[in-house]
Amino acid sequence: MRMSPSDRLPAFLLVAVVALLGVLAVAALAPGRPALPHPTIPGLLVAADPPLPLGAAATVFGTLVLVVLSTAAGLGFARAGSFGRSGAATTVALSGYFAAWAVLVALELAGARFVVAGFPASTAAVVYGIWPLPVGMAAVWVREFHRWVFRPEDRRRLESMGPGS
Amino acid sequence: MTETVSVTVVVAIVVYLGLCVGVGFWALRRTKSTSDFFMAGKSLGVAVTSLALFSSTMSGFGFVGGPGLVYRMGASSFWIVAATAIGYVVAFSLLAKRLRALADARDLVSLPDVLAARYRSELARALTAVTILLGVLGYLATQILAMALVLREILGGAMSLEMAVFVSTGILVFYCVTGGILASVYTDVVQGAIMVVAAVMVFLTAQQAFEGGFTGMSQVIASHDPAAIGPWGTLGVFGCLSWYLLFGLGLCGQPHIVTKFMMSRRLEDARTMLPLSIGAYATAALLWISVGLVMRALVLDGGIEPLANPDDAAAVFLATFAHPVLAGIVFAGLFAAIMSTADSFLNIGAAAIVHDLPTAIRGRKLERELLWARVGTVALAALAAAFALYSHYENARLVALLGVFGWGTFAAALVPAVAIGLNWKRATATAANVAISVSLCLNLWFELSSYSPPHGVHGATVSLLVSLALFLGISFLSSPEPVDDDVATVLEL
Repeated sequence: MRMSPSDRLPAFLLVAVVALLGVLAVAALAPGRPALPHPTIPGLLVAADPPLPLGAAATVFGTLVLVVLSTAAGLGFARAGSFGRSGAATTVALSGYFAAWAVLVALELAGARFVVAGFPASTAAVVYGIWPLPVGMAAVWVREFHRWVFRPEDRRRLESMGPGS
Repeated sequence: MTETVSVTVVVAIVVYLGLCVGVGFWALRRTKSTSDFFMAGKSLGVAVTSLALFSSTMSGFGFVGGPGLVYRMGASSFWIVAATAIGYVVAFSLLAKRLRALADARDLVSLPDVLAARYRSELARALTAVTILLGVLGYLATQILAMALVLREILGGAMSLEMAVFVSTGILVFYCVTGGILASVYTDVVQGAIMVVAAVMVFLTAQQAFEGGFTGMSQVIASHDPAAIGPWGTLGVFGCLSWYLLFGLGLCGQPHIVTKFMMSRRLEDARTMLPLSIGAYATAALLWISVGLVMRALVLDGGIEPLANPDDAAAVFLATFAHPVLAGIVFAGLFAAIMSTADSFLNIGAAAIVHDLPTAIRGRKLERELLWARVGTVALAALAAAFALYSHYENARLVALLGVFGWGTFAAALVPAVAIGLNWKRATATAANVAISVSLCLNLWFELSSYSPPHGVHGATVSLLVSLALFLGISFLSSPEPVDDDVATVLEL
């Protein structure tokens, strides 16, 4: 089986997906229920006692989830497998996700209890860190659209295909 | 609901429904061909396409199910909100350019058309159409039932459920039949604007409904169960992360959303559409989070009685705390949210019935396709309405069963074949057809067997991963297949 440059990202994606399935299989071996009914209030759930901590398997799983999302987005930016300058910039943009994830993991492992803008610190890392990141990525998308996504030569190629294009 | 609230809500709903009918009449004169009916003549402006994208994503689930999830599970469903935002980025990078370019190059009007062109496979077209049809039937039935229940509730039970189904489906069908997707997307603009305004106002009201704002809510929730307001809520780490993957990557596989990429006036419009869609979604999601949190805190604090059903969170909050005008706007927004997704599903479902399946089976399109598109829309809506009533009175499990052919199944079946396949020339038709078929069977098995993967992991996430692995693996192991020149050009952009 010969692998061309355009096959590299899909191959990487395949490895990450299989690894995710592997982590799930390993996690399935450990006992544990995620949630239980509230003892007095119907309709509410409470976390199982004790709640499943952020262990090694979950940290690897979360990292792989980000790898899969990043690789998929990168596949969209890559041209015939060439990651090039746009790929490097995509990696930098997506590194914000890995940074926010690292902060979340660190806060969880440290058992941080302080409150940030209405939420416990680690929840605040999700609400104010991971959730708004796409806004920054959208800004990069707008700024670099004609260099990375749809270049003038792409328009010319499409127009050369036929009148409908 | 107090009498003032009831009157305001009824007025808001009547005005809103009147707007929908007006848009239907307006779009009727502009719908002259199948391309107009299914693709809005590929003439939509930036703001219209962006709002249509966002409002098709949000749906009634966001306005009813979302707050209900936060009420029931705590912070777990924050991950769905966060995932959908990154989902837009992933979907735009993978599909916005290529779907729009292919739609133009081949004059395509549906997602099954795209797969047939990409893989040179009528089986891929048929399998995609069947996947869409299964999802549409279940989703439409649940949306129609939700619309009817909301309408009956607003009218204080003065209307029978059958009549409420007839009225709400009638208006939906009217503007979808007269104006096709054009009416659908322009009503989406109204619906999207209502949702954004409503969400901001509810967010501000929710902060004031609890002493100490979000900090006060967090403290009360944490005093009963610290994990509920922790980053994983009550669902746990694996469950939240599996949602993050399912919703983040799964958006690329939602046919009612990604087909909007094919409708914009110019490919370059995608540049502005991404920030507008993300901004609108993030704003509307404020309602999801704030109402769920405040209701959980109020119930735990003894401020209000426990809810009979978690999905009542938004309705009870509005009836108890919102100004009558706000309640009116939000109930109209709720109706709008349900309708905006239902009309998109009706459109792609009709395309599957009158365009994709006949083309896959006969090898050519139907004569007088526009007429059949209108007939198909009515027939599909009537079937879904009957299905909704049957499920309500006779067999709720039937709709629940088809309901699973929603987000998760679309994600598992279509993400590999559509999102990866349009970005990788080596992907093969066999891999696409196997991935679609296996993921459909796997999701059905998860539902029928009532088996849930451990630690709160969503079954559809497992299906998505298996489907991706099969698609990539089989493509690597197969001999490369030829791709038409125009398709190859689009893949190389």
